Amino acid sequence: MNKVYLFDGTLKSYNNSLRKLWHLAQNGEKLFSKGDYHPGLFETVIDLDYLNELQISKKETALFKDCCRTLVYSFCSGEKEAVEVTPSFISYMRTNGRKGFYHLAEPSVRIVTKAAKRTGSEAHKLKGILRFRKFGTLFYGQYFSKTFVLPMLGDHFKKRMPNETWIIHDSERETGLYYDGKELRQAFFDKNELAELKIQSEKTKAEDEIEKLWKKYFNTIAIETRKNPKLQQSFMPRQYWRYIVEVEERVG
Amino acid sequence: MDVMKKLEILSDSAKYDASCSCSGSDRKTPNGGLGNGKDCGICHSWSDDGRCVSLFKILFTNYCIYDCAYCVNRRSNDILRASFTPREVADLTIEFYKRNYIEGLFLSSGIMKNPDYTMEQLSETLRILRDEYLFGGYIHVKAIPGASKELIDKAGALADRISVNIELPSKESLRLLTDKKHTDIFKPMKLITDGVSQSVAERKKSRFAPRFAPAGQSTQLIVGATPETDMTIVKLSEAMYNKFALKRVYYSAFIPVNAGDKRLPVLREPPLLREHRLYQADFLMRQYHFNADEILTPDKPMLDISLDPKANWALNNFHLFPVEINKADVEMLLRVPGIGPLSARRIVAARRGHYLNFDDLKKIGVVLKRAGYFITCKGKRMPAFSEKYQSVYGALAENHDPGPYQMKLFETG
Repeated sequence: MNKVYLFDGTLKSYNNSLRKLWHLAQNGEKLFSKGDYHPGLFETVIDLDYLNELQISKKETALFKDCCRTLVYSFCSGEKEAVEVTPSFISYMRTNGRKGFYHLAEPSVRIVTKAAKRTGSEAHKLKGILRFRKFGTLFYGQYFSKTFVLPMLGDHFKKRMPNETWIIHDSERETGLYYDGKELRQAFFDKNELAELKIQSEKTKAEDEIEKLWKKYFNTIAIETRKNPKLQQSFMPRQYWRYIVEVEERVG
Repeated sequence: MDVMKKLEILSDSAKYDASCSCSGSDRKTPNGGLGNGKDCGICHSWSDDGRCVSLFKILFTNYCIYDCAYCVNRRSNDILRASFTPREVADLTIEFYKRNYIEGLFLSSGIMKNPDYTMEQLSETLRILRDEYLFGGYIHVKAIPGASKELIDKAGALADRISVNIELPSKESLRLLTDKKHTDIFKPMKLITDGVSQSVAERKKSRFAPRFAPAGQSTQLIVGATPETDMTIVKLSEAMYNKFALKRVYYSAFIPVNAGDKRLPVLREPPLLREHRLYQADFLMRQYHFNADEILTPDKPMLDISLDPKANWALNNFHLFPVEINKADVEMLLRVPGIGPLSARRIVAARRGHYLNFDDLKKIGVVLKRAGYFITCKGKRMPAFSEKYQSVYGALAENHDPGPYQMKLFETG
């Protein structure tokens, strides 16, 4: 009988299930979100949400943290295969220790680290190309991303702008983060509220002025004789452009 | 003149500075302040020429008392001139930074009145940013050659990176194309190196000792404006890396901004490919442990345009290959064309587990397109990859010849 683990499909539940899987997981077992799972004939199903959490021994804490980070990143990539091989990955890492991260010939390690890298590199990219607009004292930044990078952006901007009030809005998943100068909170957006914000933004002249200055700067800094739009787009793909101030007008 | 016009004039003049790196500093956000440094650096945008925009790159002023042949801001050019105040630059930087347009400031300047006065203005801008606005973001400032030691020290203590441009690869060229400005470029460079090493030594004793340019210094030189060979340039870079512990040397292909100056060559287009090859050679020295002498020899002092320098070295030393992936040391793996530091590290880690074959290499992400000609796995060569010098050369060389094309009726030359 193959063992199959289930969790409820959210990031929080996935995060919790890792602590339980750490002790249970064996090579070849699979993890599914409840929504994606179709029962097979010869499978034992274990619902992780009903299990109690188990302690991680002190000796293994550091390794567990490293694995967790990679696994959470791979979960955020939205890759279902990476979720599926989670138990195999955990069991492999427990036997091989930290050097297991480099054993890319092992399928579970390859799948998980590849997916984690996708999230990691997109998070890094968005730390650069996210743009804020100022409404009154609030900075509002909307972005598009293929993977779920909101938590990483939250941490980054909390360190960078600890004394400002800001909102980061993931336009694909209609969720976001609100920071009021003290703590970070998850926020869900009401379309009407957003429309209200946008109307306000059209009224503030000072903000317009700064955006104009930036666009002017962006256009003059390019050297005409070295023009290379293909290179530009390979670094900054067009799908991100609609929320980037300096190029938003170029997208139809 | 309003800020918009000034910004247009002064960013237009600053665009030929190549450096835009913002890595190497992990400055923390000051208490009650704004901004931090990120060790890996973050690019924020890419302009139409494909170069990244991570710093707000701007000249403080484009007034200049000097008259260098290659410079767009030289005294004898009839162009619009403008000058910021320190407060204006600081305000713009903060506003842009808060909207996440930029990672920090890159402040350079033409030379007005005298070097000391200019350097004072730059330092004042930095002081406003750091002390008044409590700005913790990245700042790269140019040291003005000829400015006094105290002023350079002051700027270095506030900035993350401070640099001087060497501009041209030899003293003769400098004498020919510039006036007094660049007579002793190595003096300020030495000052900065001393400042950095002193700060590093002091910080070993106490972590509260002040930092001096934690992201080090860099420099830039123009390629193709003067007759120096690649050999001279690569040797010069190596010497600067060794002597002044530079982080980077930037090469900028000569763009004829002052057409009609008889001291400068007439080029159909900027030597972008040569610039690219020089960067490749530069990376070989910094990350692949090559010496300048290995890359170029006196009897062949120019880099092969159709071949990257690493492939060129491998073909010149063809007797050292093929390399057995499962046994070769890291230094040798790094010398295989197509294998970089990351792939080499992965190979070394993965081969501890088991003997690697070509499939394993593909799985761990090693690209075999070029490496295939130079390696063996378990003693076997990669199938269908030739071992003859001529065909390997043919496979690796890039063809940059535009090929035959239809001439225009009235075209000359």
